[in-house]
Amino acid sequence: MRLSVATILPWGAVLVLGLWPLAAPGAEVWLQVLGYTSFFAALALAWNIFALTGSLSLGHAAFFGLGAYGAVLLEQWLALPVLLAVPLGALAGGVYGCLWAAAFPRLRGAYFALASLAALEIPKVIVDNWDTVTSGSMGIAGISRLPSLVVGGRRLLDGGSLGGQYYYLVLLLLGVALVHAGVLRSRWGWALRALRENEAAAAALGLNPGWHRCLALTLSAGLTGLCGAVYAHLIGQIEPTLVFSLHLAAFPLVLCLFGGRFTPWGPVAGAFLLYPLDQLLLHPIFPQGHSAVYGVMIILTVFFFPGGIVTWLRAPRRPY
Amino acid sequence: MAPSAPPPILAVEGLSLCLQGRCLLAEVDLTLAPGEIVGVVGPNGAGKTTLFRLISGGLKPTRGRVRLQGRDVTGWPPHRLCRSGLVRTFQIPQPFPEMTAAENVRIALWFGKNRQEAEGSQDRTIHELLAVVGLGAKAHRPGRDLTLSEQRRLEVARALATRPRVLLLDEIAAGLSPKAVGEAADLILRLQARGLSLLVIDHFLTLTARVSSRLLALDRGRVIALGPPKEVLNHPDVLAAYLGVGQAGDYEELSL
Repeated sequence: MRLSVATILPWGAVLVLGLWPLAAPGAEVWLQVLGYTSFFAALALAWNIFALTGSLSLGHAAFFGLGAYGAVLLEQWLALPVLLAVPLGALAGGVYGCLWAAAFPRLRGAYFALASLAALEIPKVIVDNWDTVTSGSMGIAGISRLPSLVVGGRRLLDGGSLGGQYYYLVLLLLGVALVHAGVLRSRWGWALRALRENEAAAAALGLNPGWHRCLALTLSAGLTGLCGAVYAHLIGQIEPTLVFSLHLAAFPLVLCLFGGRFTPWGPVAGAFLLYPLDQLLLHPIFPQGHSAVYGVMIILTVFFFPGGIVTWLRAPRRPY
Repeated sequence: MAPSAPPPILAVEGLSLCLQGRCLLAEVDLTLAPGEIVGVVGPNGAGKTTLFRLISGGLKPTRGRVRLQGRDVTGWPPHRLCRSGLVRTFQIPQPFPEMTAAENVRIALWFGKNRQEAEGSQDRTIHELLAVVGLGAKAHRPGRDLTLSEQRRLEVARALATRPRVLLLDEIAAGLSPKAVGEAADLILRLQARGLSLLVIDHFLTLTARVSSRLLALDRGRVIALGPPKEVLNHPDVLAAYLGVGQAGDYEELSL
């Protein structure tokens, strides 16, 4: 592995994220904010894996909600342990992603985005109305917290405490980021890039577009479902309008566009710059309209650095 | 064809594409022998590119069959045909714009027919292929920065990287200078020398007349002549299709 800014920066960031709470005990606000930042960074990376094929999804909240409800319902009705129910919830998201790929294999661009927006409503309406199983629009409360991680009699992570939750979320981010970076570096990542840059040429050269899009969407949806399942245990209660919300569908898109979509760490940079800015600075000043920052950021991004802000780190390959 | 001739590598039988009673292509028969170059000529709208799309998987015919080495491949999608040894280039070049020329070729090497190539020899293969089409010095330029002629040659290098047996070249010489057309003709003959069979579309007849062993002339979706270039180019129907029956004009491109 070459030692470059691109290698040192992310691993340095992981170290800082892991170690700063030891140096500053009692910084609850920061634990909370940086924990959620890590969470949304993971969500953005999961979304980005499918965006690598060139399609923008506006419906990833469908996978998020299915992950959340999948895990919680399995715990509620089958009494599965949390550590088993969470991956199964992620699987529910992945299966629905696979269904998308089968249902609209030929849609691209704006057509795909609109179809994804519509496909978000399907599980939402079902969960909202199937009262006997999902409690409908009332939602489900009293969900257990993340379990404590006990290894050899020593409690490594206390899922009920703020610090424990924080480390769970950093681990989630680390896991999803490694998958995402692995995809980008792999031969399969090049296949996705070829599909994004010119699908007709890629198909003529032996790439099966349907198959690779399906794989990418299934992986992306599964990881998004994983985030949803974790979220349910973070918040402790879920309802359809919360986990199937448009806000959750658009949020990863904003973070990825701002940070840089086709780069290994762009979505993470987007999350760590925007979310703390919003929560720590803008929320106290404008409690009503603080989310407007995301809209403003999209406009600024598209106008001034369409490749995302991490493109500033690299020497430009050609003058714009 | 003489009875001793080898079986054709590509055979097109009665290929038709008719939409709502109107035929864009009707009853086209064609065989391509191993190592042969056949030119497909005809005026605008004759059905040349339609024929290519029907053979290479962009379109499904309403009637007729396409056989590759005896195997029925009618209606197969492009990626499957590519892995079976048939690949096309595009009239309007379709590079991966943000990838370098070398990366463009690498994609074809990785995902085309010959997927098992050892990692170590890949870089050498890529540079050989770029050298074959005269792009050796441009290996690290992104696809979008290449000129039209260079992008066309990149298409050929990419197609070769998939290790095809049959190569379909669509208007490789259109819009090129006379010198570049000469280079393209040399390139096509080099490809033939590598053992490829080629089907070459050529609107202005500048290229195919030099390199083809046979020409297939199309007009309004029908075959009007098939045979050695000299015969086809002097065929009265071909002259009529290009020049218009009893009309003057439109002949300045026919400077053979």
